[in-house]
Amino acid sequence: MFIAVAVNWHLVWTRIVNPNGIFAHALWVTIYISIVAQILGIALGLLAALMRMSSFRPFRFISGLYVLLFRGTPVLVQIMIFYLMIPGRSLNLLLFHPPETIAAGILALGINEGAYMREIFRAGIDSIDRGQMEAAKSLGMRYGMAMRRIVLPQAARVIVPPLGNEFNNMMKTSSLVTIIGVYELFTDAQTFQSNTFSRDIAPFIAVAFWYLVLTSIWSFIQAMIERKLAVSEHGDEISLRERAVAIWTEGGGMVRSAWPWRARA
Amino acid sequence: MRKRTIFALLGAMLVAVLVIGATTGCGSKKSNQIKIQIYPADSNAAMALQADKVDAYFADATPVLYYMKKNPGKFEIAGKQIAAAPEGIATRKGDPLGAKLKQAIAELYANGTMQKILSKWGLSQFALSNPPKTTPIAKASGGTITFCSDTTYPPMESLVNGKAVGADVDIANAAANLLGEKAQIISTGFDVIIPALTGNKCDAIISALTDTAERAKHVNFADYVNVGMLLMVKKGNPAHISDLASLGGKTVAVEAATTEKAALDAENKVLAKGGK
Repeated sequence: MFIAVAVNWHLVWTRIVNPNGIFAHALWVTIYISIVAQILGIALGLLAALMRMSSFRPFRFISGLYVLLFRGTPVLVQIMIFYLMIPGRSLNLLLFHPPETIAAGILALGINEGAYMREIFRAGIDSIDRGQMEAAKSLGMRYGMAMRRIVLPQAARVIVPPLGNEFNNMMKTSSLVTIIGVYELFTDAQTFQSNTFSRDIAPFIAVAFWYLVLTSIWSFIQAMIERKLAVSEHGDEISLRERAVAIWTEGGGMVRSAWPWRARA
Repeated sequence: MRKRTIFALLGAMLVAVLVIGATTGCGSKKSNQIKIQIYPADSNAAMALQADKVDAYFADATPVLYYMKKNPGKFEIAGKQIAAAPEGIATRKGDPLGAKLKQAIAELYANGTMQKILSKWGLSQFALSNPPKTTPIAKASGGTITFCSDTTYPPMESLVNGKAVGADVDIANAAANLLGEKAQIISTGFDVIIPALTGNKCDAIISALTDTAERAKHVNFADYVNVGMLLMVKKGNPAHISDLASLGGKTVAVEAATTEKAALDAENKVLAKGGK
């Protein structure tokens, strides 16, 4: 197969080191949408996970229906539905009024994310021995307190790695909001590319680089959180550097001998 | 750093992001600039006005008049037709097909087929006033000419039950027929339609493509209609739009990579120079 690649590397470089003014805005919109949507997703996911484990049947039903609907339909369709559902130009949230396109994007991505987060939370909570909850209760803790103080902190260690993956995914999926007219990273690249009238893929290589920067920064933050969460596993911790480079190592970075500098520990 | 410090820092970063986003309305500043909402398909841009998401929808006169007719009493046209310019069938530079299509268009005007097609779709006013002169056509032997077309642009081209229909589709069929060939329409995104042609994904573009100097650097044009741009607004013109200059501070929906988008960018530069 012959693929003609005509890349204007000078343009790639220019778009990376000297992007135009509107680029900063596009980058900011991408970051903002991903972060807020992820927060919404975590909140909804936790709520749905707790509802799923409730003894009250309608709660379990609602939680199941939520996952069925939002995990079973394309997020692109959901974005369009939310966009058309919100009337007017901005969403009235009393304190502030986000443009409705961005609000629709956040809602769709966040609610979709919540459906996936529910499964992650459920797996995390399930991984904690039932005895922990029973022991907490026998100490006189109520359900909520036992969840907050005993179960969730331990479950966090199981929850954070897939949560980080989900957020990584979220930053990339947020490019779908271009369909409802949000000016974000992908729209920026697409607009620039269409002005060249050529098959030059330079703007897209540049935008891919920026997404890579975002996901790399997050990977580092995630490694930091995971390390802090692992302090209770005395003697078994691995260094931040090892976590950060985990994707390069066989056995996901958990193989000590793979890294000579581990010797100092 | 202790665990608590790290989480407090991360939390503070989150709060900062939320607060900045909330207070700046996600970066949308109040200014005299036109807020351009770019949509990947023209139908999405038209939909944005129908859903009252934008102050105006800016497109060629052809779809604007079509949407006006389809939704009587809902919309109106703001101001006059802007910058009427020829639209043409585009072909690759150096491809003999370009000259053949030019001949075919001249023949379609001479034998009245073009007028019939345009009148069928209610577009008679956009016919060329000076159609090109006819020259003898050498018929080919029943091949297929593939046309890239952004089929989200009624009445020029749109998909009905999965089939491309519209004035451009009829013109493509008639022109190919004159050349002794068949026409095949390939749905293509408008923002990549010229790269699609130069990348050999089709033989020609028929997609209400305005013949601009910028585009003519990359492809050859065989012009067949003359169309301007129109601003469509909600009935009663609530945003008081009369021309491009009156769009300052307003939100306008356009399709990506169109001449309308370029016109709005140019107007924004004028507005920026003019100050407040």
